Amino acid sequence: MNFVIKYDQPGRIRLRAGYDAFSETDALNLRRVLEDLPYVFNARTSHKNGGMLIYYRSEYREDLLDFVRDLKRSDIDYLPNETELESLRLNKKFKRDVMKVIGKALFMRFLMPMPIRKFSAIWRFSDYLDAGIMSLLKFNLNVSVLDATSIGVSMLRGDYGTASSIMNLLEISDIMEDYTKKKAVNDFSRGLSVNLERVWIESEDGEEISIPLEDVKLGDRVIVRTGSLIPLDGKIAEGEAYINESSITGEMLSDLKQKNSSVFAGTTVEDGNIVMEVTSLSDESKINKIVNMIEHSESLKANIQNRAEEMADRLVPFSFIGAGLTWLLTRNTMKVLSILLVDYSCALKLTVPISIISAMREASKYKVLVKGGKHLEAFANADTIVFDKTGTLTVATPKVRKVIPFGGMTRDETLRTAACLEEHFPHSVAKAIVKQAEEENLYHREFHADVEYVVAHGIASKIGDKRAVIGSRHFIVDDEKTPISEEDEKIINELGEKYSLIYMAIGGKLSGIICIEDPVRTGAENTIEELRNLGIENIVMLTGDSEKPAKETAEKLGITEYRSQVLPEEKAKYIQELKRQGRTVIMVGDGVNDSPALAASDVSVSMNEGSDIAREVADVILLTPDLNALIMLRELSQELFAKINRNYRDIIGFNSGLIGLGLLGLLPPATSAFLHNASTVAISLRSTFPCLPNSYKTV
Amino acid sequence: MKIGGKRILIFLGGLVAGAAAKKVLESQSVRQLAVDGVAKGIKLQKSAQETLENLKEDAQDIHHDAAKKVDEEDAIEAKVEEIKEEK
Repeated sequence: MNFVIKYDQPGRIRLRAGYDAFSETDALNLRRVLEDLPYVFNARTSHKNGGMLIYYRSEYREDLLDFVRDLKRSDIDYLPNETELESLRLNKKFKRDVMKVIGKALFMRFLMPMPIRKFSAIWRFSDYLDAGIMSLLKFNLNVSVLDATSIGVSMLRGDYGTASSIMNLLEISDIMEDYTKKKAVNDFSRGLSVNLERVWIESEDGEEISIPLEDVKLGDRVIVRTGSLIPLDGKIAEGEAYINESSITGEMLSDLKQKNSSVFAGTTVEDGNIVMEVTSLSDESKINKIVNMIEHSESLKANIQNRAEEMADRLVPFSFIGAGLTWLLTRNTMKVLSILLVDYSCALKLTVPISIISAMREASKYKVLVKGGKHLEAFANADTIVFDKTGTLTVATPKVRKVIPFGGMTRDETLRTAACLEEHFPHSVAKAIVKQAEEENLYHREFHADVEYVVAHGIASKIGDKRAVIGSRHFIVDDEKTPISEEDEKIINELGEKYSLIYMAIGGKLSGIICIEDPVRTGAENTIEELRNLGIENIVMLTGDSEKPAKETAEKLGITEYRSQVLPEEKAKYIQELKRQGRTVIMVGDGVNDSPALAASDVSVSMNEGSDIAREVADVILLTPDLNALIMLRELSQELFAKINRNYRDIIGFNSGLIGLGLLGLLPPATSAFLHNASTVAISLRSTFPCLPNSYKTV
Repeated sequence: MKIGGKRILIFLGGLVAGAAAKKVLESQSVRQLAVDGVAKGIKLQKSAQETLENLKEDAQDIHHDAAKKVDEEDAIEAKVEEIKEEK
């Protein structure tokens, strides 16, 4: 890049490369490239004149200049970071818009003769008049009517100065409201993309570091492990894996890919670990989809928001009545105007959505994705929480402790066969079996035919010509009618005391029992206790597992209410019954068999390592394995609504105060309008402040 | 009819002018002129933006130097005060 040096002092240098040096998007990326240099502290770029302002360690002046000189277009190829670009655009637009209004106002005031100013005021008024009349025609007494009246009255008195100032103030506050709202959404987006869209890459010295997706460059080595999504297009540099490309090709079975094979964004690594070199960056973002959905979904609006909007509109007639009374009692138009300009609705209508979306962003900081304000509301008000056991209260990957062969098979054969059958499914118990087989190097060729997953029961398939089934006792013994001898039953009972049991039968004969230990997540008892302290009176555990392990887990965690051997539909029914009793229910689950229950609850939470269906259906997704995130969410949501109520009180208090002052004649209308709008903006800004203190222990 | 004749002439003149304008607008060279003209306008705007940005940056640099100078002078004064107090 060719440039001239415009400012050159130790540690601070300004270069200029001309308006055609790089584009607006390149400017952002260039800034990042510069800031990535180890000796650069800070950089600012502008595409308008190709300017670069760099703060750096002065010893590296020559290196820096060489670097920039050698910089080519292709070196600054990054993901066009939509959210950051959007944020910059928002800021620019805001400044521009405000400047325009002020500029026009000053221009009119100081440079234009009175008749033109009068005309301009009347011209501008026409829009407000229009809006006011449209509302009146719909019998809707709202802010538009209020504004139109106050401006109109000013003009009728011949006071064009006040009329113009009022209109200017209204315009500026409109701009500010728009900006604050958009900024809140944008901040949420950015929060999501930084906190949630992260990938692991291999740094130069071979270490694994986690970076936000947007910071990935071409050629970076991204590590993708079993069960994870491949984030970008690339080429396998190391390792091999079975990759499931069904999201692209629709092909259900996964394909083995090795070094130098291409892999595509959106596909999953079913089995194996790979290090891939990024070959292309895409800008289609999961985040954008989520944010779009949130922005546009009316049904996700919290009830409190709807109530706020209704209340705001209902307060407007009171402003008129107040103004009317003042007119009758004092005949003082100034006072009347001051009153007309103060309304409760703009602030009320702004503070609620902004608070909510800021809270959603705050949640994402703690690795919790909340899909809508409605869910925060339900979470704050809930008095009951229902937990699934396996994979939710217990760790996502239970451990295989014992493998007992039956019917003439060897222990290893049993485990190998079981793993072969279980490997296709994301159930946490299946994962445990497969992992154990792997650890023991018991690999297999696929020697069974089509596998059928019987929800909450187990897996059925064929080996050779014999029917092979693996799953719960209910499935193998009750459904498949596999006979068990008395001695075997004794062994089983003993085992059942300590472990969860998975039964396997081939050709109608019992061939193995796999003992699974399902340890409870660390800190789970603490979570349960805290939730109780925070007002969730009823804590219930529902599990498809058998009675003994269920009882043990419940006792360990201090849960008094639990049910074992529950089928998925029964889980949903239980929740519906709770709701019928008037309770607000949170359901926390992870598996496919939890989805009906999740859908039935007032607010549903899916675990991090949960099945895709659970994550789709759930209202809240925990992106951390720590159950304490639930505590955080409860405190956050309760604090959120406390904050909203505080804002209500402040809005009503402050604005009533303004009205009072106006009544007493202590506030001219322009000042009244200014204070009103300033307070609206201030309270909106305050709504963006975090609910939880900064020192809140990070989950 | 005399008045009518004038009107007819004007009308006919208008028709001719319209047809000529259409021909002109459709002609390639005129279009090219228009494109060039707008392009020049855009270049002007970009150049104006550039100049504005340059001015802003220069002002920033001046501000930076000035602030630095004030800081240095303040530091010197503070040192002087310290020395005086020690005496």
